[in-house]
Amino acid sequence: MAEGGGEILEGFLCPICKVDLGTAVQLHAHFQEHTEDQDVLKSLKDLLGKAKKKILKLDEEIFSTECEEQARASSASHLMSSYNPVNFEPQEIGATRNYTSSFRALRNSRMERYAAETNKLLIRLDKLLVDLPTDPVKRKAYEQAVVPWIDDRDVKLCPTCAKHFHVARRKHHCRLCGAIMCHDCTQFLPLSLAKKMTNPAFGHQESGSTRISIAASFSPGAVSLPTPNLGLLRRSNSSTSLNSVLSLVDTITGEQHFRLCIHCKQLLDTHEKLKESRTLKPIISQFYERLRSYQMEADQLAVMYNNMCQSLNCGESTYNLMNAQVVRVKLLKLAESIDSLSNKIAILGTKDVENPPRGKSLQLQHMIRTAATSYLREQLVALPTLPTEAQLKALQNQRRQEVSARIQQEKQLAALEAHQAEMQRKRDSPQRKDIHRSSSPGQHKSADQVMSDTGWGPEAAQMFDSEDPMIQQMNIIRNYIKQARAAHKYDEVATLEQNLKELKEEYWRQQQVCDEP
Amino acid sequence: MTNLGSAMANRSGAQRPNGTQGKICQFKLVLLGESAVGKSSLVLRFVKGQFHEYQESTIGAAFLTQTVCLDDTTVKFEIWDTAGQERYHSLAPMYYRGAQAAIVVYDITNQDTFGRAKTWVKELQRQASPNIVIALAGNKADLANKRMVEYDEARGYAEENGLLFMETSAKTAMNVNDIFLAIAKKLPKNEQVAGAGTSGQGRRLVESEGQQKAPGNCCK
Repeated sequence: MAEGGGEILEGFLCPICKVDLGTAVQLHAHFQEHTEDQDVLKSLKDLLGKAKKKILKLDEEIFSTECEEQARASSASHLMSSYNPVNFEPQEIGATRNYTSSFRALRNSRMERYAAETNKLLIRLDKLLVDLPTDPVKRKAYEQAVVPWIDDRDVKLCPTCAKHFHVARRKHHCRLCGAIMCHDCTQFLPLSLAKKMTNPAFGHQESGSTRISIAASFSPGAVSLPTPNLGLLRRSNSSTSLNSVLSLVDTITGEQHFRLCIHCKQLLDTHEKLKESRTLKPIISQFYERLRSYQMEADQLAVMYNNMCQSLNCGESTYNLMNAQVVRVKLLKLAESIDSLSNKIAILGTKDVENPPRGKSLQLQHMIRTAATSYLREQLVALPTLPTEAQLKALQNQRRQEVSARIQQEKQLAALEAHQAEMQRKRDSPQRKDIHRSSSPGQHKSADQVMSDTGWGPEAAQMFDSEDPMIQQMNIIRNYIKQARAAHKYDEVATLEQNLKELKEEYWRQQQVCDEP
Repeated sequence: MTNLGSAMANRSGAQRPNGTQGKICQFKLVLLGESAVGKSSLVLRFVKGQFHEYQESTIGAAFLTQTVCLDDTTVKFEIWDTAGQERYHSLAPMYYRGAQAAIVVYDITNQDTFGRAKTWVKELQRQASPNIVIALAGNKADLANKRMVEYDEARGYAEENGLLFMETSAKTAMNVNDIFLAIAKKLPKNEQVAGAGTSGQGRRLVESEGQQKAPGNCCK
């Protein structure tokens, strides 16, 4: 590394003057020139020697401290303290380098090669499929016209299994790349599947069931699959034919297929899998989305329920006990489904003996399960309990008493104030206005998140005839509250309750003013 | 019971699409004005989209709610539609006190109602919350041939007093939603701006980010 330059020099560099000499011979010759300059070499050697000594000494010290640690506990601890990593300042992050773009460039060139290769295969497949003759001989000629076949004489061994070809092990050609392999190493692509691959619209429609159809398109009797995706078609010995043309038709299903080499088949399979993964969500994310939607619903209900519960436990009559119980049951049901769904995610695929989830995917599944259980623990198990019917009554009574006690107290206070006001007649009216304003309870209860997409308005009430407009209004509001509760507009109920309270206070204040002599 | 269940399902269903919205603000809005200028008709048009030729006169104060969406904010209006009759005037302060918005309505075919509207505006400026957003609505704009209050006169008055102004018609729905939307736009949407300690101005009810929070111990 050149000092300060930050660049990396590579090549046959002279250690003294850092010149790139190009070849080892030249570097050697160049270095010889330097040796004449003894001072430089000497200084270099000195420097190296010092460094060596220092390192050795340090090693010795560490070694000795480690050996005689117990004997020289005090000095050892002193020495150790300077090497104890705990005592070091946390290191700052040095220069960092981003390799993502270069990685991408490298990867892209590779991916492009595969993509180009795959596309070539698909184009050939498409060509083969267009008016493919049904007659075996004609078909063979047609296939050879589309894809040039490798000359039989050039290949002595099967490239996949390295076995000699003879009468019983005949040479076969891959219909897509023209390469030669033996029958045992042949892969078969059914025509129906080939059509699906080349027809994007068809493939898209069927994307949901592509995988299933791949598996299903191989007849179980004729197929023994090493892996589910690679369709290695082994044919029974009895049907071994000398004529490769005959093997174009599966003797059992009667379905036609293409003979492919393992490489072409792999490329096509990968392509199919990619296409599938683009359109099909993995089952775990489908489950997870459902889990999230349950959780969102539970969150919303929990907020509403907590409000209801709090209000009921305070003995307020804003909410109905029955409504709260219904919400509770709903929440518990949601909790149950969250639990079972997360459990389903956790054990997803673990029964699959051949390909169980491993590493990160297994970890993810467990994480989701842990997150869901901790969510349940935090949010839903700790739900506050509702008072029973009797408890609620007691609470409401208690509250009523409290309220009446408070009103009594306020009455006394107001009487006192009125008395004082009388004493200071000059400031009588402005002060009353002050009282009037300051006592207006502007603080609304934080309501739940019920949101009406369409507006809500109560039906016009029947006549509430009363001399006093204030009493009339209270009756109207009471009626509105009833309607709002019936419509489950708890937000509105809370607002209206608030207003009723204000009205009552205002009414009472007016009575006080009237009673004044 | 089943009825209740379905109502709740509906509610939560209706709520989810709004999860992407930033916040929900709730505002208290009061309608004031001489009797028979069309306050209730305006509200009925806004809330239910209806119009009754023979709207009964309001007793006391009616209460309705309506939600409007603005960009990323959902504004919920709690509307108090006060009675215009003299007999109920003692109730009005209860409703404009603590209100974040007021619509003062007059009838463009009646000069007296415009005078009454002016006194309402004065009363609001004196008694209501200092940050209150006041809108002046010249209703019955469909009866322009019987016009007694000139547009420019009202416009000028509104400008002098810093009021929102529109001529509306509950009958034809002209400018009805517009005036409520204009108010919603002018209302402060967060506590910092609202300040002033007035009763829960622009109460922020929901913060969607809070809801979308991922479960605690994921990806730790």
